[in-house]
Amino acid sequence: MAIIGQSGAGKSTLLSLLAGLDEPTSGTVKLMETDLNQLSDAARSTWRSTNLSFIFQAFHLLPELTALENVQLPLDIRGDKQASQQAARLLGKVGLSDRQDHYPAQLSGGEQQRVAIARAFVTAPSILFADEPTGNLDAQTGENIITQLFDINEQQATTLILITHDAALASRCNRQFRLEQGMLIEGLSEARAEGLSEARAEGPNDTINKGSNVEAVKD
Amino acid sequence: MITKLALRQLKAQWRRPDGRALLLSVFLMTSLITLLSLTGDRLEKSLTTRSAEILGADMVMSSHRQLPPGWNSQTVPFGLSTTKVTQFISMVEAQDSMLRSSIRAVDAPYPLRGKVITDPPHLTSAPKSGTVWVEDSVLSRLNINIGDSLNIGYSSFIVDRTLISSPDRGSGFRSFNPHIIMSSDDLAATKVLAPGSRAHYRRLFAGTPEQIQKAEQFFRANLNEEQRLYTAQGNQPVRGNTANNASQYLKLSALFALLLGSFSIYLCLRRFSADQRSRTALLMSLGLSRTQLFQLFSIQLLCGWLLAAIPGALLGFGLHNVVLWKLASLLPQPLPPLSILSLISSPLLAGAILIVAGLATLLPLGKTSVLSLIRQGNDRPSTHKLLYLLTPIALFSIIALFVESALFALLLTTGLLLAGLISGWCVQFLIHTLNQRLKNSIRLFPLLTLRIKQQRHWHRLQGGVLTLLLTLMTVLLFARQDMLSEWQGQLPADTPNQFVIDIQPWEKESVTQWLSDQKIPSTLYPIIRGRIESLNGQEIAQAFTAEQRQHNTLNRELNLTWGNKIPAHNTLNQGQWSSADNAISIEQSMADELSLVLGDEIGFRVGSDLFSGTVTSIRGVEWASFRPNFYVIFSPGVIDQLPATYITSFKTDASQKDATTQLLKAFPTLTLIDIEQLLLQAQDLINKLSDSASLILLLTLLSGLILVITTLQQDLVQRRFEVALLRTLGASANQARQLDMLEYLLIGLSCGLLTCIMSESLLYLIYTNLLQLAPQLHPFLWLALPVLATILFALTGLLTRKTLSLPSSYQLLKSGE
Repeated sequence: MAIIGQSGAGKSTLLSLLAGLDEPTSGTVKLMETDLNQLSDAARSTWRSTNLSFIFQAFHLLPELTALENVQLPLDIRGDKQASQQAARLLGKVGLSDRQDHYPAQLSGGEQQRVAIARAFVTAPSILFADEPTGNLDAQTGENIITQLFDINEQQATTLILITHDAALASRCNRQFRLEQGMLIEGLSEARAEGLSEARAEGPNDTINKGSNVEAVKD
Repeated sequence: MITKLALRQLKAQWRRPDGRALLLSVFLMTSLITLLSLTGDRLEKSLTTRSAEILGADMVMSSHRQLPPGWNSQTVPFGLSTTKVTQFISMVEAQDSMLRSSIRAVDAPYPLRGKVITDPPHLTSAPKSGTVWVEDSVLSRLNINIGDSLNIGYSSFIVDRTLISSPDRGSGFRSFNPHIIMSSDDLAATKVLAPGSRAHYRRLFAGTPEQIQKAEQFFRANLNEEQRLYTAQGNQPVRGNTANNASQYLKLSALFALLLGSFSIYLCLRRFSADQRSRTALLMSLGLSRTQLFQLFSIQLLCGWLLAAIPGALLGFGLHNVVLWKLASLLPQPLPPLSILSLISSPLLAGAILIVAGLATLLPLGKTSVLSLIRQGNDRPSTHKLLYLLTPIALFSIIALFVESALFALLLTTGLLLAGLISGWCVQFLIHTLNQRLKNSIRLFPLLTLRIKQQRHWHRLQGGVLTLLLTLMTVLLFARQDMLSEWQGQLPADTPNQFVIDIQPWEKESVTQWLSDQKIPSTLYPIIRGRIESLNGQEIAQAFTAEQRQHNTLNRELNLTWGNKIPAHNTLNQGQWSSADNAISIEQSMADELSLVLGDEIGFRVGSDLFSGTVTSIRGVEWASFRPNFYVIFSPGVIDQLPATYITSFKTDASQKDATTQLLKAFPTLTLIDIEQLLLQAQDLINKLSDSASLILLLTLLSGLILVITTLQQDLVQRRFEVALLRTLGASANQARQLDMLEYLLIGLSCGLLTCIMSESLLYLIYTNLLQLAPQLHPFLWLALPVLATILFALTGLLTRKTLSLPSSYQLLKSGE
């Protein structure tokens, strides 16, 4: 599913509430049958690390670790014995097998984000939050990244929650929500839908159709 | 995994200037503290040992009268070992030659601390009855050998051994005479000492420091006026409080280094913690728990400590040996062993400071939210006010614990902070003033003004620290040999360099004749020792205040003289020189401090005789003139008949070097004091001490520079941002560099100027108050210091500065990091 909204609409706040990073001033957040508000700070961290993953706009790789080490880091933190093999497998999936010993500084922006994607999926999360994952990339690279993201997402049967302001990108997801004046409304707005139909007329069709591959939100 | 990550991060940190600054601060601090504590510890121990060896005991009771027999039994409860010594001056005679000698009659064992060294080595702890140990000069002047006999009073002794060195030589001129040691069993038979004879009676004590302390308290409470008590630990008659002064200096340096070091470490860690925020958020989003996070940082701190503190301690140990090698001739050998505690205390101290500063800066990281990765810049962890308050207190407590005195640490810290604060403000004022001068001459003026305004807090800190350190360096450098040689240079050319004392009345004519034959101008003055007993008929206890009674002229015997005209090197300040009966002339400072005026009648006691004199004139006396000087001079006819010895001083030049040897050959009982030799020794001592002090200060200066680097790092981000902005707005890389250089130039010049002002003022005070010399300016300083300070700032600035290309400037601004 995609959540779309203009700058300042509250997309990031919604994300932080959903991921249990922030506490709501009123009401409760229930995710996968778990009331996040009922958990202690530590329990929430543990729950988060087993069930959630993040992909950020600014990649956030550790510069002193190689691509492989960056990907295996979350498994290392859990003490997973198969960390290295798992990480190598995921890097293979994003097409970076030959670059696994490179450091982030030796990788291009797109490659860095692919490492970040591999890292996000390596723990086989139930839900993956992606916050403007292509915001720092040029159009072509962004496109490739999204394709890979959606592909792996499908293979791993993960719920992807994509935060974006890009209507075209949002329309490739199974469900779209827009955030307007504090309300979450299903569907793209008319103006955006029109813009989108123009884009559809101009652009290649297959990019939009691939959006249907995204699995429905589990809950 | 955590360890691996920690090590990787540490490696990455090392590539960053602030990471290096942190390791360097710890390294330098540890080496300095190791050097200071090792040196301090051994100096204190060896000087106490040395004092004990000079005294020949841990504690000495000394009196002009025999100690009452009860003394012995009183010492029993304290468990001290004890022995007694009687020292007196007497003529000894052998083969018709006479020699004035300082004779010690001792009980076995002797001494209690230190060693009497003889040739051949002695087997008994004191000379056997009927034998004496004599110094080489006794043998040569009496023209006798080992195995010959000499006479003391009515007894004859066999010279058993040559005395090479011995502790407990006594103080004052008594110790200048050739020494002889005999057994006290033989003393009575010599009949040299009759009631009223001048002799020194000493009882030596030795024991554990606790025993000595208890006994000292008891004895001090029971001392009479005649008796003096000296301990090796405390108020030694010989070396003052040298050990104390030295260790205070070392402690002061240590405190300075610790303050600088902890501050650098704190700032580095603060910067480190700020950099770690987004990384921490990321690691937490990947599932790192708080405990793991704590481990991650602890491992890094531990490794950093190992990397910096261990080599630091080793360097400190090496430097300590350099200092010891420098001071080798001043310290008793062999030196007391190193204490393990002082060797490991410094790395541990550095560790404690790292922990405190680390906790203060890294604990808030645990509160970092993953949110900061999503909403950039919005999420700053709240600062802990309590933590900010507790950190300086905890750091201060560690430091106070180390220097072993909270009050000392508090006073000095406050003093240093105040001095630093004031200098900091002055530097800032100077920067501002200098900047205003540039107003119309440079294009970058508005930017420079902005920069100076932004950086003023750091400028104050940098300026304060560097100015203090440079001032100390400068004063130390100038207050050494240049001063002593300048002082010597300012003395008149005819200033005497030889003193001769103990000229007997029957030798007066021939010594005068001999000197004039050698064309050495001199005047002989008689010396009669006497005490002031009364003022205008009142006893001194009533006539003077307690404070006045401490004056040199009242608390001991005075050297009195007489003459029919005022000495050529004195000035007549008040009244008239009078040759009238019972007229006396007194010295100005004595008149001032004892509130004496013309017409006062002063009573004196010489031996059993009483005299009085009326003050008819007050003289100005130059005490540092190296001529015989007197507080009181009688008119002729009052004390002329009393037995006197004579004193004179004269100048010998290079061609007359032999004259002094010949004089001693011609008159073997004279005592000659070579002032030039004494000054050379003093010069040597001062050089060695100030070399060591300079080494310590140099290291402290390095710590100060590290602090400057650290502070330059603190707002590096802001600086880079500013440069990036300038670059994208059209400034060339050159202009950006110029702006930095102008800033360093301003702060360097300001620090240099302030250092000049402070050093010159301090030197002025030292010249006028301590050395009593005409103060002078040092033009070289006014050139060198501003240049040096500017270079220091430019160098440290360049070390931290990174040139930004235009694209990377855009990148920096875009990424918003």
